[in-house]
Amino acid sequence: MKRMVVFISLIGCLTACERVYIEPNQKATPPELLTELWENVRDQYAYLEYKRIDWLAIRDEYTPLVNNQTPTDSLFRIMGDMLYQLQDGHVTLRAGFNSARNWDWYLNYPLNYNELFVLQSYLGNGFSQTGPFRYTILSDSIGYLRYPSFNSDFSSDQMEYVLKQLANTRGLIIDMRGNTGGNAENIAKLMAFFVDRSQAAGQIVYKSGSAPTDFTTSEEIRIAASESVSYQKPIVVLINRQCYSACNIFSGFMSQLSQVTLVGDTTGGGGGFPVASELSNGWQYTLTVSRIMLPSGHELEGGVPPDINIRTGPEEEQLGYDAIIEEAIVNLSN
Amino acid sequence: MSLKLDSCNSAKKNRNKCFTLSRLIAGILCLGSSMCLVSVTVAQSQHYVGIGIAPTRINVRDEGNSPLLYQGIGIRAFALYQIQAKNSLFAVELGGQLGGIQPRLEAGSILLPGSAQHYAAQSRLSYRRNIHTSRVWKLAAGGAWDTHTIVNYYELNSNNLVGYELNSSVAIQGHVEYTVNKYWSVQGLLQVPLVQYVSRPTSTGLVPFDDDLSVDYTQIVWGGEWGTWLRYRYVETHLSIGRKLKNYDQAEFFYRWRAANNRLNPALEYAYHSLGVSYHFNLNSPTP
Repeated sequence: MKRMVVFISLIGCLTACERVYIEPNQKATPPELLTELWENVRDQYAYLEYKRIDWLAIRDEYTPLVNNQTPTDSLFRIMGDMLYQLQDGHVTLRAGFNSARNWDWYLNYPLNYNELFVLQSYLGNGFSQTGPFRYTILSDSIGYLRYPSFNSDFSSDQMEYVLKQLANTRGLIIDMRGNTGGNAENIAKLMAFFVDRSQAAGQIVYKSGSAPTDFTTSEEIRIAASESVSYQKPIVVLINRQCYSACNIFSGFMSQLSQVTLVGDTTGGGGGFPVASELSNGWQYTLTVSRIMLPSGHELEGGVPPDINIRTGPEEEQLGYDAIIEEAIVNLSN
Repeated sequence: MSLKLDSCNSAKKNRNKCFTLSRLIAGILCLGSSMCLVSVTVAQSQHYVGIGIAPTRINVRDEGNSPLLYQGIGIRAFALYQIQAKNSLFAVELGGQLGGIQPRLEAGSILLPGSAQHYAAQSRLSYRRNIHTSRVWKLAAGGAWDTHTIVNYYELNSNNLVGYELNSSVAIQGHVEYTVNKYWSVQGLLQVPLVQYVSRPTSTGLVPFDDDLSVDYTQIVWGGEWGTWLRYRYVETHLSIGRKLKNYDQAEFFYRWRAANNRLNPALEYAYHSLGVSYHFNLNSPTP
């Protein structure tokens, strides 16, 4: 019985020593939190070298701004400003009371898109909608297809149905303006209907260490062709600065297809994928941890330029047309 | 056979060959005898199939995804097969666990509600021999091959992250049983690893262009390293109160604790507290 008591006491002691295995959450001071965020960016952010950002200098600039008495909202603002230096719309900082993100990728540029005007002037009451896709056939047998967000999921059956409705068109306009991205899986899912065979569309590398040049080896991104329907007639993809992230990557991938022409303004960029994590005080942040490039090595972070750069705005609308759509129609008619 | 051995002695150049042959024959005889003994032992043993279930308190800190300690409640279920001989026990156990966990901070913190799902699977082959027995208590020691896998799915800001760990270890076990009376007994088990293989692939979140979470099982299984006690440690304990039933089945009320501290990069720490019941069916019934 004595041995039993000793044994069970030993087990009890081990169980009581759980803190040896799991320490409770540490309460970090404002300077520690700033350092934690700075180190996470150093270790995880994929574009420090590409954007030639001197992250050490940024630490020296922001560290003196924070001390143990820095109020919570001030700390949040300072940390948000530090992340702003990355010039990346995928980088965010969120707390229960505020969120910070860089919106420069489209705020400083002309919009080149008015959804209501396009709806009134081109789609009217006669358009169809299947899943997230709005589509119609414009004059001269030109198909028009709008996909508003890569966050909107769709089934292959839906896309097949749409393309069967547009099968007799002589060309197709895919309007991606204002599409700020979303689920990257939908890139390959959508593009599968515009390639005739499996093909390499790009390559991806992941940040793998604390040095700016630490990356995994490049992985090829392949797009498999749809087994049912494939649209192989001329295509014009409409883009603007609000075409970001997954939309930017889709545009970059599509630009390599021989039947595709990009019309509009340069896309907003966003050439990697963000991953979220947490700081010791529970604030969440997202950082771009990967870089996506075209097979040629061209980086997508800076945006995809159009083949035909053309702008549209209120003046054109007053005259009753969208200059970007009109250019697409002319391009496809020719 | 004797003729062959004699002929061996008469041919010097064949001695080595014959010696090898003799060893092979002796080995086969020994193996056959051992198998007979094992067969007899197994035949004379008690065979149990058990199932158990236990609500579990889960604590996880996966520094590949968050510096925060996640806590929550889950459920653990397991099945086991035991062969209890007079002086030894062989057991196979398979278990699974799932639960929802959330970060916990000190009161007053302003944080966002991150959440995660925690999954764990465990398999264990164990063998123990009695090293001391008396009328009321029994002390046994032995070893186990224990494999424990963890998968954590994190939902942060609409972004999914996945954290994995696979640990396979050869461990030592100590077991003590105190028999209160004909029906009741109290048991304790302690398991500590000796040699471990730990795999901890880097989490990169949802891999784009895949329909499903991209899980590279090859990397998980073969991308690990041998861990020492300094870099990785775990302890598992199992305390139970058993009640023998009339048909020689056995019911147990148990408390199981397992805690681990992985100092590989990125670090993973976890602790489980399970409080539950199990039922062991005696396959030899009605003869004990």
